Amino acid sequence: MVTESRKRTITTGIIDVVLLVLFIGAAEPRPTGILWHEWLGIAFGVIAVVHIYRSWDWIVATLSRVFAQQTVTTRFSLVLNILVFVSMTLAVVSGIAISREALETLGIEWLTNNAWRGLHGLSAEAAVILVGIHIAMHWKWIVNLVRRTPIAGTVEA
Amino acid sequence: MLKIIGRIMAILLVAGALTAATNVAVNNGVFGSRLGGEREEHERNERDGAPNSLSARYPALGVAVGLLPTVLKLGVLGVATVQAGNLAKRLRRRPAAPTPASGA
Ligand code: HEM
Repeated sequence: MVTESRKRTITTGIIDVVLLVLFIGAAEPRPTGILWHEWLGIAFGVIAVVHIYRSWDWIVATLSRVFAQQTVTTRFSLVLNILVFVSMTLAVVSGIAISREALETLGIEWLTNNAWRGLHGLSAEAAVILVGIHIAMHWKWIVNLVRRTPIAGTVEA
Repeated sequence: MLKIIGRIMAILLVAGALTAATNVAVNNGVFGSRLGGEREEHERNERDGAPNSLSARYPALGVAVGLLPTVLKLGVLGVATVQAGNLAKRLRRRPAAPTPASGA
């Protein structure tokens, strides 16, 4: 019997895997080519909103207790997640600002300023580092999810 | 439904505010325009073009190998962070007094 909360966890897991694949795809523009890069980056931005939306309860709970006592881990996660959000937003937005293919397809023309290009590389590099740590902070959650999938052979009783 | 729209609007609003602030910073030259001129053109050409011969012959392989650096970076950072967390936990749990020698 699969409970509601279990279903939710699995959905979250699937969304997160998609997000990670899109991120890794977008983080290396050379092998994919710029057209793929731009669309992967845009798709990533959209799914990232879904990911944040589904973390809403954690965000509200943590922010509302920002001045109260919290564990070091929670505090660390809060700061980290804010940095992840900032670097990701800047990566996607600056990417759109310097877009050469995707926006043209959509018939949109946007400002191009060389500073955006520098910012794009910088924020993307920062994002890779921060995402590595972000994933590590949820390591137990990931291990639990994998352990309890039927494919792993240890289905819960 | 209203709740969903509200939350998504809130996320986009924060992202939008961040974008607007960055835009002001960029337009005021806070980030300079480092990658200007020829170097930028050169870097761009290098990035877009000329896949190496192996990836030209086997595009999927080229993409897979190309993505490896990011996978490795994420992996190394992930493992390092988990290990650092474990170490921190163990240090915190360590008893103040030395544990009695065990056995004989
Ligand atoms: C998760 C989001 C993204 C990541 C991690 C990312 C990462 C990167 C990286 C690492 C580079 C190479 C930068 C350098 O060598 O200085 C790059 C270049 C580029 N990216 Fe992105 N990117 C993302 C999203 C986007 C989006 C959404 C677009 C456009 C719609 C885009 C458009 C571009 C373009 C046009 C370049 C080439 C810049 C040039 O001409 O020098 N990126 N990106």
